[in-house]
Amino acid sequence: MADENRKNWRRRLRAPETAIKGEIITIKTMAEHIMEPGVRRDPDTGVIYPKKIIDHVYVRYNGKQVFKSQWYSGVSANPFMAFKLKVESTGLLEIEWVDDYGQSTFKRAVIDVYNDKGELIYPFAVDKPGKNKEVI
Amino acid sequence: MKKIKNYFIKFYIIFSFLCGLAYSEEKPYSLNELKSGSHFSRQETRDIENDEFSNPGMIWVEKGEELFNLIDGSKNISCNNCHDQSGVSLVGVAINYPKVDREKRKLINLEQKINFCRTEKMNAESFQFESDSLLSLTSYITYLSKDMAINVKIDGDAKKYFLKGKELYYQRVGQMNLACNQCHDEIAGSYLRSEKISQGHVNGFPSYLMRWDSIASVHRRFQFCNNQARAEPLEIGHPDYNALQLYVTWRGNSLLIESPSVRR
Amino acid sequence: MNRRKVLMLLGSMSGLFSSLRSVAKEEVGRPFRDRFQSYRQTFRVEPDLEEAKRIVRNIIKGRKLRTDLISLKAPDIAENGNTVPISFSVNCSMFNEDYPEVVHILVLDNPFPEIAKFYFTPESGQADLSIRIRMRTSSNIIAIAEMADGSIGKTESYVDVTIGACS
Repeated sequence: MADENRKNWRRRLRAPETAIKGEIITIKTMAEHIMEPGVRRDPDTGVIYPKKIIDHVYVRYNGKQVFKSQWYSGVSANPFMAFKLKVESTGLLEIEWVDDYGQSTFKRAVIDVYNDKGELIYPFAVDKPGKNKEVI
Repeated sequence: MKKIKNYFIKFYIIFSFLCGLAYSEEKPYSLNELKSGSHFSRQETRDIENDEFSNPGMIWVEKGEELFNLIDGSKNISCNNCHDQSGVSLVGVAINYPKVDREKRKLINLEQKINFCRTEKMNAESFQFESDSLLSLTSYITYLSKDMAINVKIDGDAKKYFLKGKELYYQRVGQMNLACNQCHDEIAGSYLRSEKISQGHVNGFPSYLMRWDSIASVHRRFQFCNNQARAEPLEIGHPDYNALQLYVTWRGNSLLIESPSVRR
Repeated sequence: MNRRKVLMLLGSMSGLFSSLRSVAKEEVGRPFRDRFQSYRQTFRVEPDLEEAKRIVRNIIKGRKLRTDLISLKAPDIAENGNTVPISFSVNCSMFNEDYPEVVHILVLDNPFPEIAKFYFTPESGQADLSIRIRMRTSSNIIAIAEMADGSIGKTESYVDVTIGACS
């Protein structure tokens, strides 16, 4: 039981490093969590282990929420989830797992998105060189 | 004349019946063909195990790698100081365990060896058996020898432990009066109440067992087998379990290490 | 005669009061938190099939079910009830209003029937997902997809969960 207070709970995320604009990519996530459902009993004393599960999972791309999921006690321990995402520009993918006690952990990854010619697409507008004539 | 003919016919019938009886004892899976535990599990479980990302046992392997590089103990070194690429590499070490330690002259398995290294070489505290840290380190070190054939020795110093393990394997235990060989040698491959009986090899250990939602060591699995036969389980790290682990590992010699595997 | 009338009146009034108190309160339904355990509970949390069906009816809300909207892939026989890998796929274009707003996964024979809910957006690309769930006994897994334009589709798949070996 002292193991529950450790800090190295693993969160794993696998996303492709590069993609083409408009491509639909598969993202796989796994969290290390006991997901105690609140119905299992200690075999010696008969007392039920208290419920402790991951409640909400938020997926954000460049800060904007793209996917949300709500889990109940039926999801298995060390939960694995694989979903799809359509990328339009380079960005930071963030997955956040929120416990039902309010604790939250996250994992981030960067996806580079190229267009057909092979140039990197930025999520913000880039000025062409020479356009801004003011030199400080 | 008729008497002799009757005698010959009876003799012929009895002889052919006895011949048929001898051949009907053939087992469906003999131990001449060694099959690892993944052969006996369903396709979905094999898919979970083969993909390195979706295998939940890899969580413990990654934690073990972190612990391997962690500085601990009064000498302020980590495992990596001695056991890195240029020093004593740990690739291919797990195929020899359980083995007899040269200095201590007794049979130890990988978990006990890790604890000895920690207390003697690093001056750190030893890990408790079946604790999260020890399981992570054991799965990491076994993962380094993945896809290498098991090769334990049973001659010389290890012979008496091997014979003790063999005696334990064939001994009937528990309220159900079951011995290991009755299921895992003779009827492996048939169904016991919807579970397919495997040949009982430990090439996948420490493996992720779905009934406990975590990585388990061989000794904990032996305890579960004893519980199921309504026998008194011994404690984890008991020398009898070490001897039994030596015999069972020898039984699977030349199987490839599959750790961390996913089993029921 | 007067005493008799008074006694009869008193008796009937007391009978009336006691009957008012013993009128049974109807239980409207046992919400999620009611069935959550107290600290020391020694009986099993039993699955309630009536409430599970009520939950499904509340999601569907009397709408007509579209066919071939969502497809569910689950194993025939689960190796272990603790980890059953399933995956679903919603058949839609993900443009304008043609994307699944919520997808529910339920298992009716679990003590808590709801398993998960997934909220998609048009940026998801495709509404495909895989997850691992827990099942207590052999049962149907039900997947319900509510689209953003109000239509709804449902599919179910039967999974056998067995017990094995010496126990």
